[in-house]
Amino acid sequence: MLSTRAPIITLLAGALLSGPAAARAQHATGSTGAALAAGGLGLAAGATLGVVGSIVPCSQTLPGPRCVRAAALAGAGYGLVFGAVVGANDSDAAADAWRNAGIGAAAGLAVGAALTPFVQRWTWYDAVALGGVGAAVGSSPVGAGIGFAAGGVAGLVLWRTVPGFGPANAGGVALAGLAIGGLAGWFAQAVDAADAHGGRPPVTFGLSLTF
Amino acid sequence: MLPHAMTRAPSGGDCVGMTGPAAQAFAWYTPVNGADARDLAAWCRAVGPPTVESLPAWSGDALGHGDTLLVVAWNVNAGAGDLLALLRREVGFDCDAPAARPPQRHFVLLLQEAFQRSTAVPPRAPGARVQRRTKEEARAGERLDVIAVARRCGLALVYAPGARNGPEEYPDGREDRGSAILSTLPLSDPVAIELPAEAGRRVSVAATIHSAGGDSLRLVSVHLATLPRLWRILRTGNSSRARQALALLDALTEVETARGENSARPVEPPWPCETTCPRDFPIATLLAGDLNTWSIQETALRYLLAAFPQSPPVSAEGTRGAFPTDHVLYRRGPNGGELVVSSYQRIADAYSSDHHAVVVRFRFSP
Repeated sequence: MLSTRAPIITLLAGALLSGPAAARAQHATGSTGAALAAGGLGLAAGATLGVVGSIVPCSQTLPGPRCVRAAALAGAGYGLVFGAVVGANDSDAAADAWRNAGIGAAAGLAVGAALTPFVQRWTWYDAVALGGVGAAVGSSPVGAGIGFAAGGVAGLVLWRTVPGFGPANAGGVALAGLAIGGLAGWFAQAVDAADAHGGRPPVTFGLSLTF
Repeated sequence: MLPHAMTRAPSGGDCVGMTGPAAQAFAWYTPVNGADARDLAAWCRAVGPPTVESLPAWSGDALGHGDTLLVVAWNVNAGAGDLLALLRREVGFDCDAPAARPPQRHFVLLLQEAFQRSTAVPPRAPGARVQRRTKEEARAGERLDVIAVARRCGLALVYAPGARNGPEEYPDGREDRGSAILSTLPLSDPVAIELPAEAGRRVSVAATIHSAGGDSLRLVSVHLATLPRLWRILRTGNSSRARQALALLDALTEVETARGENSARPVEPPWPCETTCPRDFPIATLLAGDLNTWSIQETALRYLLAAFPQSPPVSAEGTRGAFPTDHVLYRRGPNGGELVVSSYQRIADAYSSDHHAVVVRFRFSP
């Protein structure tokens, strides 16, 4: 049974972390350096979220790991683009994303380190991997939190109501929700950054899109 | 995906698990990949020797055409699963009742996480890898290792340990655990297949039984990886069991080639064959065990089903909690043979194991 407390805490934590961005003054400025930094973070976070979100569904297809690789590449590309948009429009937002990713990484690493004595075959590699997942989630905490909560509830309902759906699929829906929410969060950050830049400038992705 | 090619390997070396007289009887197959070989060697140094007792306690009673063979696949969770009780209640074979011998009907047990306790299991050596002892549900009755069960019941046995069952020392030795086949029929041509190192060392065992008419059925007891480390899951896209399944198929093809069974080889590896899978195989093969699948759509199971096209319909019923981990798969040989699909079922009582056994009946073609 999922606790209702966990998603609420996640959302509150996400709101606190994203507070400085929301309170930031209008007419923010971006820079090439911030675009590169946020693009790099988006790339890494998108790839990680792509892997996390696709592992369960892809593990049930014939392509298997090839499917996961495709999701990771898609996530990386998506994260790179929207990360670059964030940095190009709002250096402060890019810095916030890095700060939140750092908090997520530290939290993941701490949990991973705490597990080391208790989980068989769990090593520092795994702690670092959990830190990486934490960083990806932390870079987009509100979206990931909402997505995980929504996916978790949906997975639970499907498990209990659809014959043959199974607990693995329920967990997979929760993880997919986390990944989709996290990626959607990057989109939202890009929109916010464009707004903060003052007056919704056009953002070009090969073809011209205006948020 | 990491490499999954397999090759025939000599027994011996510093791996106790591949030494001794019984080890010479096995055909060993190991991963070609050097990283796998190094990892597996560290686990292998901590286990005892394998065991082959190819003949049951009685003789002369072969499986005739039309007779059915009961196949039981079960992860016994080391000493937790009450094998004697399962044999008595589900198979109708009482190991302690002399009147029960010879058996009223033939059966084979394909076991995973079977254990042996022996002084031949070596003390922990530097560099040898040992995992924790399996947690067992307390139960009444004797806790017999697989060799003791085979001898008490008069069954033929092949057993190959995969890893130590904890670092504990006992007055009568140490424990390891692995895969086994027990049978009321003689077991020939034992094969041990070291699967690629994903989450510890897993060794599948195979052996062949024969009908009175000379038809053959290869039996394979399989235990795929449970939960790899997080780092490995993320790095490989959770391909651990899929990789082990492909390695297993590759090894079975190598076995068939080495024994000259597939001189007219119908399909070339690598697996998965997907659209080019053959419909008839060099030898009838029944593969069963704990595949640790989270769902019945899992990639590893898809690969195996493609190579075992005469398998019974896969059941989504949980055999370990809600997870459908245990399966029976089959592919027909040149002389036919079939599973009685309607007999395929999960045994409701887990007999103190953390897995439910699955059973099916097989018969050679008339």
